[in-house]
Amino acid sequence: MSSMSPNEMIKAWVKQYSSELYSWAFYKTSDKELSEDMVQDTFVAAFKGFKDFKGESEVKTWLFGILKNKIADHYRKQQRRSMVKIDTTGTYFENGHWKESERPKEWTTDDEIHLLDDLKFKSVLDACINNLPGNWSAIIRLKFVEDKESKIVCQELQITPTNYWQIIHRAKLQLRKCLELNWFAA
Amino acid sequence: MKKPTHYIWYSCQRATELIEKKYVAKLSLIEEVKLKMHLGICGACKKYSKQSALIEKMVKEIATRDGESVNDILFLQDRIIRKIDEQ
Repeated sequence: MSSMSPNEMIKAWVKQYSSELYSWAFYKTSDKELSEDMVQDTFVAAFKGFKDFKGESEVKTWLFGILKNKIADHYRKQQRRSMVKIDTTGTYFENGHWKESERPKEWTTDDEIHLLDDLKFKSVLDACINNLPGNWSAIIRLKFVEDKESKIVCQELQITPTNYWQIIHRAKLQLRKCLELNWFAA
Repeated sequence: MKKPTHYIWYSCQRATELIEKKYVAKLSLIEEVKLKMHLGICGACKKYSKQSALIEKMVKEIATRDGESVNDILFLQDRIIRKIDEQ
């Protein structure tokens, strides 16, 4: 470690790690404000416990350890909410064929490109995205908003590549259905 | 039970999974061929594929347009740094 003061050191870590810590917290809790608070508390705890950090583990591991404890505390208090299981039984029959009600219908739109300029459509789409369970929106956030490579997303959320595109598949199915019901067939 | 035809034809579930996989990973040659075969005969999955591509495009477009998430993180960083200075 260099001649930086603990205060400077922590600030450098805030710049370096808060995005990853936030993504993880959001993935685990589906709650934006709660995640922000937890990341803040993590750094405050790191600052207070700075002298206990011997540099034996990596900074990132240490910070994630603190955050994970905070998340665990939160769930202990709030009773366990179960993680979203990847369940496609609502969409397909056992043999993997579309259920009649879920089978994609033709979307008629005269102007696909300008669809997003239609404020009414945009609000439907926003609502459909917001209705996705939290860990799906965490993935969408990382994938599209932060434009991260899938390898990085998997690392940050500690999921396998297979789990990654299965979650995306599930999210797409739900988005598709939501748009069809609320816009294209409405 | 898997039917023997499973080895040649994908189910709709499998086909749509691979449509999504394709956005994030490279399909194997066999996956690619079997997916093409399935889409050649299945109208519903073909529609899914088109709609999925449209959703992909739109979500990306919104994400880059709004771009608020990056600002959110910067804002959060400022907040934390101020908090640490208060300690």
